[in-house]
Amino acid sequence: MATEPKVEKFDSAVLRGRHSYDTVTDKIASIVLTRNQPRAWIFGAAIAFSLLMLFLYTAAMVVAKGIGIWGNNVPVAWALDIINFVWWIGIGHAGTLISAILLLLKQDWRTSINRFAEAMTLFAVACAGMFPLLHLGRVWVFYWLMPYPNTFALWPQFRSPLVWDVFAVSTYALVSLMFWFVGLIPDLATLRDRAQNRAAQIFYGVLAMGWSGSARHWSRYETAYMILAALSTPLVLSVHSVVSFDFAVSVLPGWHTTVFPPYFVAGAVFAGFAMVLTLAIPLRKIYGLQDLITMKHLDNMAKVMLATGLIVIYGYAMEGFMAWYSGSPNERFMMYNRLFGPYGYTYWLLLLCNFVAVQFLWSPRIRRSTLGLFIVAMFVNVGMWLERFVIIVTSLSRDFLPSSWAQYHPTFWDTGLFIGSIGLFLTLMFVFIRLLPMISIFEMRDLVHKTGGGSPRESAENKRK
Amino acid sequence: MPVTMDTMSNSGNNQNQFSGGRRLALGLGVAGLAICLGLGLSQREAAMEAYLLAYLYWTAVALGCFSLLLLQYVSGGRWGLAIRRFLEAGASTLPLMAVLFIPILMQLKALYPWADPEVVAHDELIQMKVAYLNPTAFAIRTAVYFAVWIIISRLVIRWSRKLDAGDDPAIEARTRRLSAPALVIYSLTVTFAAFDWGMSLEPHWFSTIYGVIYAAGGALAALTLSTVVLSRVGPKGPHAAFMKPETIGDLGNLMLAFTMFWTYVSLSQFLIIWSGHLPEETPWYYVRLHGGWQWVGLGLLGMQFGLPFLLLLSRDRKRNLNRLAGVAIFILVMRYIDLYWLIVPAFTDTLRLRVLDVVAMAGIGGIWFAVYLRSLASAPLLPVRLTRDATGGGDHHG
Amino acid sequence: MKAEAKQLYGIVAEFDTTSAVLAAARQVRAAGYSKLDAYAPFPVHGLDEAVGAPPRALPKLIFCGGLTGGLAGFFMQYFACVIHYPLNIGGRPFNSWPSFIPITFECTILFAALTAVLGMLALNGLPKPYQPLFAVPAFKRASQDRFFLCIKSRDPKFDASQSRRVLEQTGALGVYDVEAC
Repeated sequence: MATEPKVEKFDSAVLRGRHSYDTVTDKIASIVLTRNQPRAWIFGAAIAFSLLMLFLYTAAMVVAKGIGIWGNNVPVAWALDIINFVWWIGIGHAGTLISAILLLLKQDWRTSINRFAEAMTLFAVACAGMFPLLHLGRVWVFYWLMPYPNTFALWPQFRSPLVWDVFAVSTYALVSLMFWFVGLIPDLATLRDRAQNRAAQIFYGVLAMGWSGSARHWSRYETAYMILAALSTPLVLSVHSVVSFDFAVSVLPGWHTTVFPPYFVAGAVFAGFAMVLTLAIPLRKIYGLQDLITMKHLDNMAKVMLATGLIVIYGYAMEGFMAWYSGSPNERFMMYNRLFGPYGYTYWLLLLCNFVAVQFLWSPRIRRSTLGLFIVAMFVNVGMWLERFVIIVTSLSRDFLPSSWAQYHPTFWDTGLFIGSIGLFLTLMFVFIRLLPMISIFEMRDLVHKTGGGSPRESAENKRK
Repeated sequence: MPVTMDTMSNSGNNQNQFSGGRRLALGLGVAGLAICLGLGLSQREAAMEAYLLAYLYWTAVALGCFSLLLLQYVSGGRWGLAIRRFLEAGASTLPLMAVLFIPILMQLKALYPWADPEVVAHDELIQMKVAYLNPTAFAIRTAVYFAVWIIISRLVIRWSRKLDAGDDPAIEARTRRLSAPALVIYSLTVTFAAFDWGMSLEPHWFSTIYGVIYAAGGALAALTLSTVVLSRVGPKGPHAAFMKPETIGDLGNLMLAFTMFWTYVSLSQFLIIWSGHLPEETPWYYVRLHGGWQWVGLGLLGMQFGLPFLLLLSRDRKRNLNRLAGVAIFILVMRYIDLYWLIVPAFTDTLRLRVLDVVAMAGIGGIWFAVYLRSLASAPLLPVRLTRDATGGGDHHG
Repeated sequence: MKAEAKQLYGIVAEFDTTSAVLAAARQVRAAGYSKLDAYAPFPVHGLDEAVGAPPRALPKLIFCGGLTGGLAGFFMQYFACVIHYPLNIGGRPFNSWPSFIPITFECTILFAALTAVLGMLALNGLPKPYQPLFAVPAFKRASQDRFFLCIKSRDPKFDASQSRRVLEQTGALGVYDVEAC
């Protein structure tokens, strides 16, 4: 460890070192097809699993006793449940952005990070979904949210953004799952063909569905994959826009503002890239993937984070200016309360995390240091959670009727559920890393081919050219 | 495709290029503005309304060129090199737009209710905003916006010309370093410019997304204008060797993306205000959805979004410059109609069409084009140094 | 001859570079074979054209799927709010079309995406966990680092010994019989 330089040398390559089809295949597949796991995996999975237990415990108590055990009150009827929902679903957005938008933009650097970013999307959406479901109280009748023929002769309220949310989030979850699974099929075939023990052969064989790599299949596969990417791009924008409508179509000062949809989407991507970095920096170290997830990747992700962070700051600026410019006493009070009210410290902390900390990313030195990036990413993770706290709790606690103002204090069941959901997320992540290739193998082969490598004979031929 | 000396010399500095077009544009512009001025003596308000509308249109195009110019330095990509000179030409009209703002400053009372002390004295809501909405602050802010834009655009354009002249290649990297913070400054200034010039026509109303809608519309107009110009000069000039079907496809995809983005911000603003139904906000849309304006609004949904969206889904169309330019011209016209729907209902509750509006468009547009073409003729149509490498052999890997 | 052809699914040849398998596919096609397929561990540009007309039906199907979804999504809401259970909510019109936009959009995407994935699998004839080619031990590398070209016994020109010779002439690393199952 002592001999290793603190700062990795930066070069602009998205694939470092000499690689051929079989070395990338071997490097990635062997992480999965082995009995041994690095100690870090066992250690991390144990912590994650303990947190998952906390989640199951708190969730069971919420279902058994009802949501009265939360700190929610009137007027703060929405609090940590919706904050966590928005926080998690936002994190998921980076995965879709990396896998879909960067694919359409023909960005090669997406290849080695798209798989686990997509997995991150799925798990984040799963965590997000928990909160509105639990907030239903009677979680077992969740299907009343869906339109279906029923004896009550009733329909969901289609003018309500909460119903839009049901459609948006479930569409998003389903399309992300399909996108992820379609991307996995060829790799599952690889694992099927490489697995040594029978159980693994059957497990991967069933999931691979008999993928043979036929040229005609590849042709349809690529078409479907590109179109899925083209569909996911507007979808991901719509999901967080609909989440922002949950607030914006109401009339509450601090919620009702027209900049919300793009500002929420940018915030989601911002938070999501922070989470990708939070996961990618330790992962590449533990599994020795520095050749495949290079400093170029981290640098690019930092740039996306900076750009989306600046859009979020633009949103803050517009909210602040327009609250004054509106001339409405309610709007002006909302902004005053946000800055100097009882929850004022959360807004200043938010500005520290999302405004001040992000400015460090202008410096290439910070962008190219794993430690510096990791610290900024952690600030953003916290900052984006605080942003939702500021929007939701601060606005609700002091609304139109001063006689009904009340403070909100989270209980153990609020915080326990939130920390537990991190456990749910991490457990799913650890299981994924153990069972499925965390980097798309076939796309890495394609990248090897495009960068002039291939089989031993092929790279020799290319070199002669 | 190797570049021969022939194609390169074609792109040389040629002051006589476009001279016919420039003369025609200048004549049209002077005539248009003269008519505006003449009618303005008798119908001051009508002339100023027409003038402001045309002014906002051409300024949006100029600012769109400026922002895309910065954007392509940040993002990179062949499409940016292909239209860089057109964007520079658009950005170089900004000093002209600063000068053309003077008539608006002189006639603020004819346009903006808050500039009229009579109105302000009886309007409590405007009184709350008087610290921002007053003629002095308005003039100072506008001066600051133009100062910032002109300084940055001058720098970026001068550096790009220096590179052509064979100066230090590190200059490209320097421009790139300037572009990212410049985009941040631009997005703030253009937002407040849109608030000042457009939104404050109805001083009670406010919307936090208004600046984004104006800037996105301008970027779309700039992109489509560049595509049209490319289709005029491209086939004969140095672009012939440089352009690939993918480069045209990238322009088409960007056009599609900006079209969708415009729709997204416009529709979400509408949905939020329509659902909220607040007395401060709804009147703005009420006017625009009654008295004939509703047909314009509906037309925008179909023609500024629906039709271009469907046309731009086709991959073949996006790879054929002439067909793409057809769509681009259509969008450029729709940009005007969108702005008409955004601005003119501030002056009148019922749909009206005035010849004067068209005359003002031709007036400012003519002079704008004269400056644009002069800038276009002052330098090779492709950045010589950079594209020589890209046209030669940039595609072999390894 | 006939008995042998019945037992065979086809004959497959192995290559180690993309250019080799592309050249071989063109060569075999030129020799008059039409029922052939190539196998690769990643999508190889032009390989689908080299083994025959590439499939093109999917995008149209997906467009239809999306259109169906959008119409179904909108009219579901219209039916619920205007025809089946009209209810005055906040003074909004029964046909609150601005409020119907988000769900209409989501349904469009959902149906199009489902059509893309299920259509791709159905047209590819998947899932089909076991295929005759999997019995060839060398074929394991088709999902890793080798490329294969198979002439199927369905081909009217197929003849076990002659087809094998055609494949051997392409410079393959190995040529194997594939038994029908």
